[in-house]
Amino acid sequence: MDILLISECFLIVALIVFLIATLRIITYKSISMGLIGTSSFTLALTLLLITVGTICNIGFFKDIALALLLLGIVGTIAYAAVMRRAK
Amino acid sequence: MMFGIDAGIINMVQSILLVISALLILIAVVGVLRIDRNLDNVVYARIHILGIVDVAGIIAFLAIGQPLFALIYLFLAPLLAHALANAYFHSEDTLNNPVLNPNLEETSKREEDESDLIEEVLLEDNLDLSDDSSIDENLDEKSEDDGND
Repeated sequence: MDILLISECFLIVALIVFLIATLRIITYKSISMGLIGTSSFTLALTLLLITVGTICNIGFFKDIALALLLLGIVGTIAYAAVMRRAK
Repeated sequence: MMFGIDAGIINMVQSILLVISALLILIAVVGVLRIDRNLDNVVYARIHILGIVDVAGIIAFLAIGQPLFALIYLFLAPLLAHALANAYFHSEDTLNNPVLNPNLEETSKREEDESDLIEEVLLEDNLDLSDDSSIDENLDEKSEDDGND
């Protein structure tokens, strides 16, 4: 097996563990923790999509990941701005 | 061959970077889940810990060969962390924000008044605050006087 493939699989395992951890963070009771968990989930999912797309040679995974990264972060920042002004 | 460097070496460097980023992610997972939730300012601590994952993500993007993603995330990650901390401070942080917790302002004013009062008392006794030995000497003298009386 190629060493690059092994390290990519290791990264995928770490990302799956991180995804589960972010799900745990999202369940904390404050809204801020939900936002933090969601933004981290977005990053992990983006990285996972790109890694899987690289291994399996699936081109459109990259487009999905780019859209997810941009829209996820911009959405989180927008919600944080609204939350700041709400009270 | 890329830029005169052997492909095997490039693969090796990519693999090392991916393993490093995976390890950083696992360390951050352990830190986020194990931190005591009863600590003060734990939300800021969690944001700080998740900053490790941001850096690991940038390293992984570069190692996989996606510099555009790395650049985008390099610029957006600090903005995101700051926006989240700012939103938490202004909407939910009753420990540090005096707008959400008016008692906080009263407590800090009371503490300031008390410290001013202590300073005034010490100045009246001609004690030097910067020199602890002089304070001890004066206290000893006072206690001896009390004993003699």
